[in-house]
This record gives sequence, C-alpha cells and structure tokens, in this order.
Amino acid sequence: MPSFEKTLLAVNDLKASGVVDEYAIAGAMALMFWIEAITTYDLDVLVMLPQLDGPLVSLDPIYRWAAERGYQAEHEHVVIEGFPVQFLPSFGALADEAVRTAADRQYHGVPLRVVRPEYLIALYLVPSARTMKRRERAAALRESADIDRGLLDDLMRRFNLTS
Amino acid sequence: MTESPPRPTDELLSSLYEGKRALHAAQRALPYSEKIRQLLELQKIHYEIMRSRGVELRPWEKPWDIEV
Repeated sequence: MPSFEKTLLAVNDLKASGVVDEYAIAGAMALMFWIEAITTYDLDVLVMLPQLDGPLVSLDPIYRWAAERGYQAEHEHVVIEGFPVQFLPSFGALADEAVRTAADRQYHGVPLRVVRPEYLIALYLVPSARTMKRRERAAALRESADIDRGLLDDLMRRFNLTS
Repeated sequence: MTESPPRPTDELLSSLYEGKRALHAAQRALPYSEKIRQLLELQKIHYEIMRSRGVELRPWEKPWDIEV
C-alpha cells in the first residue's frame, strides 16, 4: 500500500543518486510541519539541480530517474508511491537559501528536509507567485507558527517582499 | 424601536476566543502522522464539495489512497 514514508525514501534516493544536489519539502505539506493540517493534493519538493554546462534547467534527469523506478509522470507531477509529487527547481537566491537552511525532521524514522516557516512565508510572498491562497497561508504561518521575526524581517528586506 | 438582543459580556467573548486559541494550539502540536490522517479526511470532504458544485478538478486532485 502506498505511504508517505515510501515517498520520502524515494525523494531521499533522488538525492543519494546524485540526480539532485539537495531538496526540501515546500508548500502545504511543509506548512503542516509548522501549523495545522490544511487541504492539499500534492507534495511540492524544491530541488537544487547539479551544475551543468549551460544555463537552462531541465527536469529530464528527474523524469529518467522516475521512469527507471516505475514512477509515472502525470501532467506536471510524478506519482511516487501514490503521492503526486511536483519537483520545483530552485528559481533564485531566496529558494536556494530556503533549501540550504531547511530543517531536518523525521517521519516514522525516515529523515526529510523541510523549508522553515520564515522561508515559506517569504516564498509565498514572491510577487510572481502571489495568489490569494498563498497570501492566506503566509498570514496563517505568521499568526500561528513559532516564527523568528528577525529572520523574517531580514528576508522581507533582502528580497524586497511586502505583506 | 426594537430592543436589541442580549449581547455576550466581554468576559464571555474573551473566554470563547481563548478556547479557540487553545484548540488551534493543540491542533498545531499534533504529531505529523495525525495531521496526515486529518488531511486525508479534509481531502475527502473537499473533493465531495467540489464535485457536488461541479468544479472541474485537475486529474491529480483526488483523495490519496495511502497508509498512514
């Protein structure tokens, strides 16, 4: 039967195999580590891809890795052990930092990396990705999670973000 | 002129808000596996509401059939 542990083991294998340099769980599944459960249907994984010769990013190595293990690609997701997983290449300095500084956690004994709440808020407030839902999630984190206000203020200032 | 309905006291309101805060704090503190169990229930409820409203969901937007 599919399980979240098996999905996490597969994501860890993605890193161990060198397909990605680093990863961190982001989005609603990360948010649930810091606040209450909310509805979502997929698992977002921010990934740092290995340095290549050209400037263009390709997710082909991830899709090849998935195909070798029998995981099907469906639209923008890869279904890993029953979970639709969306791999998001780190898109800039803020996302790079979010991945590098992710918190180490465990789920049923499986290690995983989770984007910290201050970075989740900042990522939700990136202008190009701002939606009402993301603003609401940022607000929920701000109100409920144990936030390092100094770090959040620093991120907001350095990355020119507004609430 | 109609008489206004009875209003709660400030004390009662404070107590209700405090109860709500305590409930949310308890929900936040639950183990992650329990939150996933809750998520599975939320997915079923959300999915049924969207379907009954005729909202077209994306193919991957369906409740997970997983072991917690």
